[in-house]
Amino acid sequence: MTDTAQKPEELLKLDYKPPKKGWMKTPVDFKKGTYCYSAPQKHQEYLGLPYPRQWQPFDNDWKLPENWKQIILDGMSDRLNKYRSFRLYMDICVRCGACADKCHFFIGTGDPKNMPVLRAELLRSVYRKYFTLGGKLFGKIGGARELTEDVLKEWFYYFYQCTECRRCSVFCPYGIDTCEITMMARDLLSLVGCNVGWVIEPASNCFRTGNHLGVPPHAFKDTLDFALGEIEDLTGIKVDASVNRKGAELLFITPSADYFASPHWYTFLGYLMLFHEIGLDYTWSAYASEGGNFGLFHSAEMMKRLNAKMYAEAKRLGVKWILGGECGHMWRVVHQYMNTANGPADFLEEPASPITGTKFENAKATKMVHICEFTSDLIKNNKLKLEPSRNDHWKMTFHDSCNPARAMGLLEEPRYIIKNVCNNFYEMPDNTIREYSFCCGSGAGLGSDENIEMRLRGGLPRANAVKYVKEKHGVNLLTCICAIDRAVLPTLLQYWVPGVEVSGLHELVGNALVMKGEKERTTDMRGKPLQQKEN
Amino acid sequence: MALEVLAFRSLLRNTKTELRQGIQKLVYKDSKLLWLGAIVFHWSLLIILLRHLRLFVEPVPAFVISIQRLDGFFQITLPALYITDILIVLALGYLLFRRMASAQLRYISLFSDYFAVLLLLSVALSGIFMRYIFRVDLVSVKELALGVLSFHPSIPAAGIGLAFYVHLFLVCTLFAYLPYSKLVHMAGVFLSPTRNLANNSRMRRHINPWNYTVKVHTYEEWEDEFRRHMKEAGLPLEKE
Repeated sequence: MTDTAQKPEELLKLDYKPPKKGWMKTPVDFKKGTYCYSAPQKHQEYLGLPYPRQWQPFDNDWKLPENWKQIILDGMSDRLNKYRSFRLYMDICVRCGACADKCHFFIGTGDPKNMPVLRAELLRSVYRKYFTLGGKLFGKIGGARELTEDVLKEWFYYFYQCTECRRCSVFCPYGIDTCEITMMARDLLSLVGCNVGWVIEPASNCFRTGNHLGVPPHAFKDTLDFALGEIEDLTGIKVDASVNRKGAELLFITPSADYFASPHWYTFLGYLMLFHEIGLDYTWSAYASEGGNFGLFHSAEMMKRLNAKMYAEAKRLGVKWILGGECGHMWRVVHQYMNTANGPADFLEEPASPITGTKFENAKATKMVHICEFTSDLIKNNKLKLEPSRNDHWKMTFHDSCNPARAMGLLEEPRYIIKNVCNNFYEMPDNTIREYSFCCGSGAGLGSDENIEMRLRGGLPRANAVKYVKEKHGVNLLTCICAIDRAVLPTLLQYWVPGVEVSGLHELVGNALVMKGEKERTTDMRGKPLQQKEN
Repeated sequence: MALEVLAFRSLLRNTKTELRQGIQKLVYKDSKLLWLGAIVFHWSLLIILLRHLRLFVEPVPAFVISIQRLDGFFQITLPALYITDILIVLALGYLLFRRMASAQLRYISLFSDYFAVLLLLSVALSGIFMRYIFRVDLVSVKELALGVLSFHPSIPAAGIGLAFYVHLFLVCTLFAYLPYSKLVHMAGVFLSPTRNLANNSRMRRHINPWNYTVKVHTYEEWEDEFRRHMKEAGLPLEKE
C-alpha cells in the first residue's frame, strides 16, 4: 500500500510559511496522491443521492447541475437556521490563530488552508457574501467572496482533507468545532452530487447488506464459524456464538472490519473468547452487522439512515440492551446522535452488567454500552482471570482515538484494561494523548489508497510521537480502540516508524485471558511465540 | 465555563509546534504569550470601564473608588498613574505586533482584524493623553455626562478641551462598530455548544425539534434479498 515514491525525508521538507499571494487568489491544485476519487454512479443511485453522475475531481468540468449555486445557497440558508453550531461558528471567530498549528494536516503539509481557521474561512467567506450586511457592503475587504466553481472545488479538496478529529476545537478559545463546519460543507457538496467514493461505497454497502464491506449474512456466518475454529486451535475450547438469535439478553455490534480485516481479526477473537468465558447471553446480528457509520462523513441524514438498523434490530430480537465494540466514529454516532436521531429506545432496559450487576448510569438513555466500560467493570470486580505476562513480548503504547477520547471522554477505561492485561505500557508525550490526541490522518472517509500521500502527511504527528516512545522505551506495539486506526495505522507506521505493529485492545485481553479448561498456550493469537516464563 | 470566561482556559493550553529537520522530530512548546496578551487586555479593559463609572454616577460608588485606589497603587506621577493604562497599551501593542509579525497570522487576517485593534488602541491612547498630558476639566466632563444621561444635555460653559472630544469621538465609533464587528465574540463563549453543554447525551435524551423520518432499509427488505442464502446457512428467518 505504501506505493508512494517519496522517501520520508522528502515528505518532511516542509515550509510553514504561507505564500505571498493571498489565499482567495490561490486556486486549488488537485495533486495526485492528495485527494479522493468521486463515488461510482451505481452507489450514488442505490442511495438515491441527488445528481448521480460519473465525474472526477481532476476533471475540468464537474458536470454540476445548472442551478448548483442556488442549491448550495438555499442549502446553506436552511442549515444556518437548523444548526446553532453552524450559525455561531460562521460568526464568532476572531482569527487569533491558536488553532493554526494544532491540525495534523497543517503540520504535515504546511498548506495554510489546512489551518483550521482558514479551512473555516473557505466557507465563512461565502457566508459573509450572501448572508451578512458587512460582507455584502465591503466584499473582499470584509473577507467575503463570490461562490464560484473554483470555490466549490476548493471546498471539496479541503473539506475532504479534514478528518473531523476536533483537536483544534480543544484549543479554540470559543470552542469552534471545525468538525461541525466540515460536516456542513460536505453536506452542502452532496446536494450537488459531489461525494467521494470511499464514503459512498461503504455507505451504500452498509445500507444494502448491513455492513460497510458488503458481507452478506451467509458469509458473515461463515466468517464467525472460521473464527470459532481458530479459537479452538489456540485454546482447545469450543466457543459458541449465535447470529440473529431472538431472546438473547444482549445484542453485540462491532465494526465490520473487526471480522474481515487484519489486525482487527485478533480483536474479534478476543471478544468471542471473553464473552464465552463470562458466559454472556448475547447474539450477533447479520442485519445490524456494522458498528461504524460512514454516513456520518456524508450528511446527518445518511448517518441517521444507516444508524437506524441498530435500534430496529435490538427491538426485533427483543434484547435488553446493546453492547458495542471498539470503534471510533461509531461511538461519535452512538454517543452523540443515536438517541436523538433514532430514539427513544423505550423498548430496551437501562443497561446493567449481567455478570457484575453494575448499572451503566452514563448510558441509561441511549442504552448502549462501550466494550471498554463493560470489560473494565469485569476486571474491577475480579470476574476475569488474567495472565498479563502472555503479552510480555509486546512493549506497548496507547493511541487515543479521536472520537472515544474527545467526543466520549473515554480516557481511563482503556488504560485501566491495558494495565491489567500487560506489563509493559508506555505513554506517548502528554501533548499527543488523551484529549490532545493526534488523529491517524485517514479518518472521516479519507482512507483510500489514491489519497496516500495526504494520509502519510496527516499521520506524521501521530507517527512522530510513536517514534519518540519507540526510541525511548523500545515500543513495538501500538494499541487502539478504533477500526479505522487499525486499518490505516499499520501502513502509516510502516512508513514513518518501521517495526511498530498495531492491535486492538481486546486482542490483548484475549491473549491474557485464562479460560477454564484451556490447553497451555505457546503462542499468542498471531502465532508469535510467548516469552518463556522464568522459574 | 466560569474558568473559560474569567481565565481563558482554552488559550492557556496553547502550544507551538516546530519541526526540527535535523532529528526529524516535531517539538511542541508551551506558548502562553497569546493567553497573556488576551487576559491582560480584557481585564484591563474591564477595570478601566469600571473606573469610568465615576464620571457617570453621583455619588461615586465605593467599589469604584477602591478599584481606582488599587489601580493607582504605586502613586507615581501626578495624577496618579494607573497600572491598567500601561498594561492595556502593552497588551494591545503585543496583539497587534503578533498579528503583523507572524506570516501565518498575516495570511489569515482580515482588514477588520487590524481595524479592531487599532481602534481600541487609539481609544486607550487618546484617554491616556487626555489624563496625563492635555488635561481636561473633569468637573465639566461629568456635568456633560450626567446631562446626557438625564436627557438634558448641556455644553459646559467652561469648555472641556479638544482632547476630550477626540476621545469621545473614538469611543462613539467603537460603540457604533461593536455590534457589527467580531468584537461581539464575547457572546460566542456563552453560546458555543462545545463549551456550554454537558457531554451527557447517552445519559439524557436530547430532542431535535426538526427531526424527520428518513428512508431506511428495513429488516424485511433485507431478509427478502438474502432469504435463500440465509436458509442454506441455517440462519433464523422471520418468513420461511
